[in-house]
Amino acid sequence: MTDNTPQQAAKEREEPVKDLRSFLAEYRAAYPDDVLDVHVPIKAKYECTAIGKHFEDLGKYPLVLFHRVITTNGQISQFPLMVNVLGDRRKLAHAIGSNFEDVTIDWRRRVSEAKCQPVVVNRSDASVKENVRVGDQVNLLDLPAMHTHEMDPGPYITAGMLTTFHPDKWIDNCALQRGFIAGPREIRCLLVPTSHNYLNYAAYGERGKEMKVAYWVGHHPAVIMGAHSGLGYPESHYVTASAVAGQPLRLVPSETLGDDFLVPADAEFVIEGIMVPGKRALEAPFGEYPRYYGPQRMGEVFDVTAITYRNAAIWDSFLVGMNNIYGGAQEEGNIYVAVKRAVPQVQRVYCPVSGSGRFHAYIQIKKTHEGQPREAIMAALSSSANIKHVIVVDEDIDVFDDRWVLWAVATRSQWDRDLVVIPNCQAAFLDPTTGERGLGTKGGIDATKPAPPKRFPLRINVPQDVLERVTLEEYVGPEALAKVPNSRDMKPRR
Amino acid sequence: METVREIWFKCAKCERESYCEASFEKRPDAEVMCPFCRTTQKLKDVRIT
Repeated sequence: MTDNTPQQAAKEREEPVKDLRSFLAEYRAAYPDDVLDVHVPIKAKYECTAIGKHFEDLGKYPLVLFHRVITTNGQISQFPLMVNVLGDRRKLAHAIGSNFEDVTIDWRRRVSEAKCQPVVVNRSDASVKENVRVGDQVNLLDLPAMHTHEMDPGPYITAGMLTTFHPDKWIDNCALQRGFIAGPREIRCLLVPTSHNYLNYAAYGERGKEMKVAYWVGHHPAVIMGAHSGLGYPESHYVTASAVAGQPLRLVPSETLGDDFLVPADAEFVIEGIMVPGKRALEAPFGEYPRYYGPQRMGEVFDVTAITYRNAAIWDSFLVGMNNIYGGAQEEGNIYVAVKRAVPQVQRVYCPVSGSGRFHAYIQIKKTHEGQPREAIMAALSSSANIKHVIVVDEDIDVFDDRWVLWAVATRSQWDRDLVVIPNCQAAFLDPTTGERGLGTKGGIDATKPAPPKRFPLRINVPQDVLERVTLEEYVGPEALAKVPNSRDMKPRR
Repeated sequence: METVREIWFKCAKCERESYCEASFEKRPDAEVMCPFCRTTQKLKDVRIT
């Protein structure tokens, strides 16, 4: 981390700061029809989710800004609510200047290079300090935080980057971890025991010290992606946020946690507070990414000391459980790195929504040896506790389309020969089929053809030059083409 | 052999059902909160057996 020297400040001024607003402006200009502004009053309790669900049923994931959100306290919030900023792969790609196919690999590559360091700016240069509320001035129930699903106990922070510092090395750790807004100044968090924030929590507990903690909400998606990257412990997520965004992340001292507790200067909101190790309260059930409610538990209590926010701040929420492309995208990068080490012939990795973005992994390889699919399966399964099923396919299979992956399973695998099953593995806690101790069975399917020089029946095909020459627009006509219904939606005229 | 993952309970006030982690079983006086009406009650009083 470096000081904000005049030279650096000047350099910064040459390049516009990447924040949520710059992303919204760029994205709206590039995809104007994919950004929607809803001005009709709508409740944070279930109603915003209903809009998201309707869009999901249409297979669409627009970025939606709800400008008049009725909060838990029955008032229209002064803040707009935004959903789906990380709602589909195209937005992730746009955020880091990549493309649909390569975004997760590019994301991971930038993390591994991680050459860009954050900078510290003065409070007067920090947008997030435009409004400062401390102590009794804080009322989190004024926020347009979504009460997402029916059995959730109330509004949750879902796109909040929970940030703590290692007690000895004072290295930041950031993670998207849920927080139940239980009162005006009380949040009950889920610190998963394997998470690095939990390791910090435990370390503070061993020292008999309270842990300073902050949520920051709303930033450029590249900053979110960088800060949310899986790293070793303890390693700075502010560094990887800078690396993925491609510019130094601007940080500023907190209001109530000391000058050495740094928070992003261009976030929309920062919520500061403390956690007293061992202080827990009832949290959840909560509708989670596998599309089931995780059970009620004792959540770590975050006692809020301050909130700071920008003028006209935008509150960011995930539509948790819907189109889990973001969680999957993060897994993909980790899987790619692990498989690449074992099988350099790996081409693409995809964690589809059909596996809630985490449980299934499709791996495409350019197979040259019969052992490669199994090597890839084992590497992928051990790359993350979340990965449960791996299907390895050849390079002619589109891993981004479940239909073709399952077609490969149907036509290129035999259960007695191509199945890998590994019982008693560490598994995703939120997978409802795992037991109390978090054990689960993992497995994989080799759905590849035999390696060369062995031959295999050829796929049916139409010559490529004919496909390019004979087009629907020419032979059917654009008007008739536009009217052809999807077969699932077809209804008879009478 | 894996043990139970969740413990189901039925709220004495609103009579809706929900569940908590199996670890609550280890605490004899554990309380649960109905997520629908936010009533807190002893798990042993509302547990569905």
